Amino acid sequence: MAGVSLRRVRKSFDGQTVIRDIDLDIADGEFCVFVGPSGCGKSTLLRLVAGLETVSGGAVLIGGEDVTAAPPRARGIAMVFQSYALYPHMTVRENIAFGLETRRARKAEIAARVEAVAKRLELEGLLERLPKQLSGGQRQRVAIGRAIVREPRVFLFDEPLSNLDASLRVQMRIEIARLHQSLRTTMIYVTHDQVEAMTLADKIVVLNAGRVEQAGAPTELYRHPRNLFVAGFIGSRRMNFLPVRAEGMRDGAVEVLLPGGGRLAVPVAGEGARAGEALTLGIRPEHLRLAGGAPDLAGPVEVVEELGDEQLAYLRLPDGGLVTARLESGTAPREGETGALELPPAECHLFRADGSAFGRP
Amino acid sequence: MTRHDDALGLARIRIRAAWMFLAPTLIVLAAVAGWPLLRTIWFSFTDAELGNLSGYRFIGFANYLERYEGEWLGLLADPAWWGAVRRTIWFALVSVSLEAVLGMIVALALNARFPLRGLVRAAILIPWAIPTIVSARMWAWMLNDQFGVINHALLALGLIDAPVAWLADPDLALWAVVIVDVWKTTPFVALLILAALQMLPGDCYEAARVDGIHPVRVFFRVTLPLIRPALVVALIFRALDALRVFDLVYVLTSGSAGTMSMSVYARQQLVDFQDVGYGSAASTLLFLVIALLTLSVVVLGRLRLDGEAGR
Repeated sequence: MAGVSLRRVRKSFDGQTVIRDIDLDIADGEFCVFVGPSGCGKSTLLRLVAGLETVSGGAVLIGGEDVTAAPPRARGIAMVFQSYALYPHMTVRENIAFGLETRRARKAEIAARVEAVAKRLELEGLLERLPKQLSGGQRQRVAIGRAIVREPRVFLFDEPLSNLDASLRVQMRIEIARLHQSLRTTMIYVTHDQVEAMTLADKIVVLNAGRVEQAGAPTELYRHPRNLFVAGFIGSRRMNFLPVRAEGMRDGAVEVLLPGGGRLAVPVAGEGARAGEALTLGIRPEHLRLAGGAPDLAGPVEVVEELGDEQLAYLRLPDGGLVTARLESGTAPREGETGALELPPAECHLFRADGSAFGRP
Repeated sequence: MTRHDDALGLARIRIRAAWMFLAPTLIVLAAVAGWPLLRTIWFSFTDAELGNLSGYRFIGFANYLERYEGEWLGLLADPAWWGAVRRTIWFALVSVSLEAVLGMIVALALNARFPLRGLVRAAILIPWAIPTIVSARMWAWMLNDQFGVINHALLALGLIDAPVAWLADPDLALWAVVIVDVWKTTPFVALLILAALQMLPGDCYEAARVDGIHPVRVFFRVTLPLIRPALVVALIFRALDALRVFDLVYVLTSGSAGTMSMSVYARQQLVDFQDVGYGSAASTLLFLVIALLTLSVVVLGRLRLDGEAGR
């Protein structure tokens, strides 16, 4: 078992920089998720940790040891690929055992370890099958088994669930979480799905255009996004962004002018905010409430989505912007009616014009 | 008419259409392959001669084997024929084995990334693109004992003291034919293997790298089993060609100096000795030998494939 550290890691392909000076520390036993939109460099970063790509600059440390120049096999890692990467002509048993046979391990020991892994992943009845005779979920379990059996210091997962259908994905997600609980090995997991990131991670690393936008615990990223990108990326429903104008500072709060003319004191550390400055207010759909008294935001309801236990109402604001509110089932106004919403000040985020967030208590 | 009858009528029309589309091919095949084959088999039971193809009589199996004044005569008792059979099979085994190994090496090299790969891939096909007669003539000149460039080069390098009679020396001539055949057909084998290599799943190789499996082991345990179907097809094609080898031998040595193949033997009987009956018997046996070998390769190959699939 070992932690992983990246020191000013850089990677470029043919003069195009895809990873820019990334510094990152992943603690021993931590479940770290790299998340970001496609093309953000998350898979490349994982392949740099694996040693499948060589860094253009900087250093990769595993267990405190510099492995920047070491080949993949010398790094003590195991990797699960998006496409499973099973050997098509080998049975499940041979697939799992293949990585062990090189280490001059005794046949009986290999067989015992394969059996143990098969039992753990409920693959016992499938050991003599070929990959083509397995379902997608079973293949993914074989790929995981092939990684586990080598008892690596670090597990690397490259979008392992993206080829599975939605229900199987949830099931495998739980299996992977359980696996991490029992193995307590460091895991690095790449995904573009922020729900997977939120549910699995001890630490989420949000990547964008080859840079780390923010790294931290899931709740930290949810409550205290450092900038607009993270705020918009994390959360199962995208945060609403409203253009506002700073009116002035009161102690520990910035008073802003909302679209439609309402005023709101947002409790943020407002140092540096100037009156008249254009800012962005962020509020998550799940934090908007129907107004009891005078509304903060009002506008015609364009669409209501019925989800059974909840409703999503889309309001057109006076400035032309659209705002999404998650409301309790049966409470939303009808389409075409005017909706009136209240913004709980404590749930609001405030961002400067450059995208950076004001600190929240 | 009911719908059922309609459907039957439609099926009949489709079957008739299928036969109409097949008919030209079947007629041409019958004319250029079926008829000559049947005629050859028929002639093998006669005493026909090239100078007089109409005045022959049926003599049964006499061309193959007959007992005449206490002696066994006929093709099956002819040591020259059996020499040709042995030589042809030896030639096929050696040249196809060399082509498999070299073709594999070339394909693996061409599968790697390097600058100008496209150009090299095209260039390697040149020997295969040249007509056999032309390349055989070219090699005959290069291998010429007095004026050949190969002797010249070897002499200049000091590797040999005197010119070597590559095509006249019975110990060397068949090897010379093998070398030219390998030179010519390795690109074909390499291309078929390369096509198979490019279909291989790339992530399996990354998985093997992460798992620290030695590249040689990956080749024998992953690459080779995965490209075996393509390899078997390439080698069956090559083996059939090699067993029928004629033009190469005929141009290089005219079948002398211990290089006579089954095809060259049959031609010699047919044309040089004018003995159409005997030559036809040789051709028929050649056909049977190739058919049996092919059949056994296909059957054995399939049995092994089934055995694997059933595991």
